[in-house]
Amino acid sequence: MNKDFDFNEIGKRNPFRTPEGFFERMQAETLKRVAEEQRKKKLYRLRWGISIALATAALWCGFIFFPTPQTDPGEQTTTTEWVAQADDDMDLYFQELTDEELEAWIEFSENDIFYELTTENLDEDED
Amino acid sequence: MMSEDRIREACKTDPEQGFRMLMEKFQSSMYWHIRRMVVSHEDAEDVLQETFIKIFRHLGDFREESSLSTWIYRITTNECIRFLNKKKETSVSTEEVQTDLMNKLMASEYVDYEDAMAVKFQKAILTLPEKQRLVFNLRYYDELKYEEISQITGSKVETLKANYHFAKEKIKEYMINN
Repeated sequence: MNKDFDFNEIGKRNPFRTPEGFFERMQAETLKRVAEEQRKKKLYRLRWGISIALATAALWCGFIFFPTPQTDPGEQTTTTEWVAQADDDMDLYFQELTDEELEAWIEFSENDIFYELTTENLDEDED
Repeated sequence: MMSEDRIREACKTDPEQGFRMLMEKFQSSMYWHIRRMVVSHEDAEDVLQETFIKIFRHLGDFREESSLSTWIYRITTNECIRFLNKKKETSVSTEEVQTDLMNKLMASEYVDYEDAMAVKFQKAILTLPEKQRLVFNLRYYDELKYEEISQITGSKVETLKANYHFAKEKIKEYMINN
């Protein structure tokens, strides 16, 4: 008995089926998931940005309100003197910055709400 | 039909629009490739969605060392293999996975049992070892060149040719004897 199987008999036919409108639904669902992922990614970046801004603000507060202790322990320093000392330190720091670095600082401080709050508080303290 | 070049260009300038075009062009061939590997429609749907998400995440990594379609086939194939490996982890043996796939073929809402010969042909394919099944599907149904299959699977062209030859022989044998 000559038995053989011809692949052409079946060709590319397969018995698998899909539900009605499957591909359209699939595309819509996938795009929804992609959009959700993008949204999460943006939120994550924003959180990071805020965290960095907060950390910078905290550093500034530390820099302004808790300056390096005086070398002479017997010498008493008032809050006004501390702030004055901090101002001197900041002047020195800014003097060392290049024009580009200064520009970056200005841009940063203009866009940083926490920094704005800090400087406002300082102004109030001085009044 | 949009060309791969247009999709690649769109992916660079507007990734979301490029991704839409990519889905439009490849989703059907990707689905059928997955479906032939995982058999059940529900599983194929899950794997397809995961594959698309992976493609979207890595669109920027596509270095044009291969064609876009080969790159997509590689990711799709990897996702299929990952899915099957996961199944193996929870199964006692490879044979159990094979039996499970066979059961899914024989009890699915989305299989046309009236086409008995086509069902039998799929059963024959399911008797093949996983790698042979993969090579057979890519060559027979998707008509990919051996060089492309080599880029997708990382196997040598000669090995793939041998795999395809043995796969065809085994299918032939199954179709005659069952």
